[in-house]
Amino acid sequence: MLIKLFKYEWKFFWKVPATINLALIIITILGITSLISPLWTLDYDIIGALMATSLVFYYLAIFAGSIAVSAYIAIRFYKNVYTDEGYLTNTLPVTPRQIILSKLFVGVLWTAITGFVIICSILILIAVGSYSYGDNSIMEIIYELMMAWNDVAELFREIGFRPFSFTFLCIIYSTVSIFFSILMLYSAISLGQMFSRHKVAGAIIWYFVEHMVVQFGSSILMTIMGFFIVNRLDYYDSLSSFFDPILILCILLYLLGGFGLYCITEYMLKKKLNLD
Amino acid sequence: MEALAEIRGVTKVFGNTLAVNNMNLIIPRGKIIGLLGPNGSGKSTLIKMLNGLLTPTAGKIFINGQEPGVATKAHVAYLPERTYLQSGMKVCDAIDFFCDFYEDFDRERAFTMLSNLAIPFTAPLKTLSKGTKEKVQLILVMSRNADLYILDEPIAGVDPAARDYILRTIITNYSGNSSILLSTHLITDIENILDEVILVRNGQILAHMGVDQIREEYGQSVDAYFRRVFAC
Amino acid sequence: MAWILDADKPIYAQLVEIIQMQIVSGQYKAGDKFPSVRDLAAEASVNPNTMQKALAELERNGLITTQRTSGRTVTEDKEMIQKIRTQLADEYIRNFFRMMQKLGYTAEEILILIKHATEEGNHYGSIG
Repeated sequence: MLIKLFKYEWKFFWKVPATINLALIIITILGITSLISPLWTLDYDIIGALMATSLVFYYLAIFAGSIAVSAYIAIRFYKNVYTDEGYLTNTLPVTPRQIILSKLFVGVLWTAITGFVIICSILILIAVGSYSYGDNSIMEIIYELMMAWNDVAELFREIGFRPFSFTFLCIIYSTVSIFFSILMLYSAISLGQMFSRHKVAGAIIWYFVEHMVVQFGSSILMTIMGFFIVNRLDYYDSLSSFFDPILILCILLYLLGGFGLYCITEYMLKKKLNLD
Repeated sequence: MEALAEIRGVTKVFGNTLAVNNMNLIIPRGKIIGLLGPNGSGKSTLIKMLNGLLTPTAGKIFINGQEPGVATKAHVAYLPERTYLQSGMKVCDAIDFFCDFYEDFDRERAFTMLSNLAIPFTAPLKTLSKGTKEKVQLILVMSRNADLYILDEPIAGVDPAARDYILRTIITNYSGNSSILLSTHLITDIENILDEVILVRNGQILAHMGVDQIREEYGQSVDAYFRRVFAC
Repeated sequence: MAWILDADKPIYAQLVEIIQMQIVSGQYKAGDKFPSVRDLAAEASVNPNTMQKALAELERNGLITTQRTSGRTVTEDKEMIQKIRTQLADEYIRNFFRMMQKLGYTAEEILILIKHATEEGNHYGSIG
């Protein structure tokens, strides 16, 4: 049943985020075209202002794109579970767990896809830009680094940096943080159901409460860790033994927090469901 | 044979309101039962609890001997008063959806009924009128071979011709082992197809009688009896 | 078309009357196969259990018989149908006379009125 739910969730979900990603790709292609063209070398005063505007626009577009995907994940969950559509979703022969997980996986997948598209877009624009206008420095550096991989590896070894474990941890960290952020949306929407009226407003309030708790918690954590690290600086003989535990700790905290948020969502759906 | 559904001392409280008050009820098999009561009598709360959309504050509900959950939802066909299909779907998508999730769904029956009511299979739901959408939902629900059909106001929004078709559909599609619980306030239209009626008031069962029993005992139709009992 | 039923009399008793009338009037002939309960209920727009009860009643008084293989059929016993027809006619006539006497007519006056009516039969539509 989980597979079937996932299949239908994907089927009803993909159009909106796919459109958003398509728009991001089109913006990237426009950027590449303009960077390849001699436009930016023209010697007009306005070019500088145009450049700044384009950059701001590009930044806003990427920002809006990622927000829109998250917003759609939230709206879809709310509509499909807690409004009229919920009369069908919640009477299917499936468990609340299957409902939440199917939506969660689709949401995580599309957030990851969008993130990937955004990162690629930024990297490609930087690469094309530096290739077209710069002195090829970035490309050359990358090229030389790749040529001299053995030396680089040697350097990493000396400063105690393990690039593969670091990358691996970063990927896990990003994935876990995506799960966490979507579960924040789901749990806030579910908690918003406790209000007899203004359930959407309730969800938004809960989201800000959760957001503040996370901010507060992470700033306390940073302070403690900072204090700890400064005092024990000599203890770290390598970069990775410094970074990796921090990443692992963050991953564990996200997992723990995510599990908590999941439990809240499931409890609300199982015991406190109250459709209008 | 065990009762199809049993409601044992069920109470539901919302804040300060007592929606259902220590209700006891047995729903037998093979009957078409009308659930009647004024607005706010606890009808829809009861229906939601039977469908697992609300958890009782106290008491227990059993359908086929099991509490509402995955197992009971597979055998209860529920038609809410809402448009619960996603508007992005086509009629045939909705049929695929039901076919995938409900093992008791009869695809052939659904297509036959759609053709009888001249509803195009490939029409997107958002292009259909409200009445047609209601018909599609009723077709989906009645195409299941469920044990218990719970129909909330199934004939409220449709034209008389479709109403007759729907009533005939209800009569012909349910098997002797299953029951239909039909909540409505248009009693006159459906009185003849009911076996028994349950009258609900203030969250409690006021009467649970056969239709002919009411007619024999009180010499009046259920509609007239209902009006007398609930007269303001 | 749904059958026309009174609102204040038990449904099953009305179904018995209607089906009896259908048989006696020849809509279903002696030995005819009878539709299934479900189809008949759908035709009448009534509850199948109520229809079942009505048919059981008709089986009890012998108008309908049930064969294990071929389902329900109208009785082959034409005499019995005739007998019930006479019974019903008797009943209607008695009712008619009761109503007319309420209106203050004597038996002779009633007979004259009936004779009069049959002579201008076309005013009464289906008579004759």
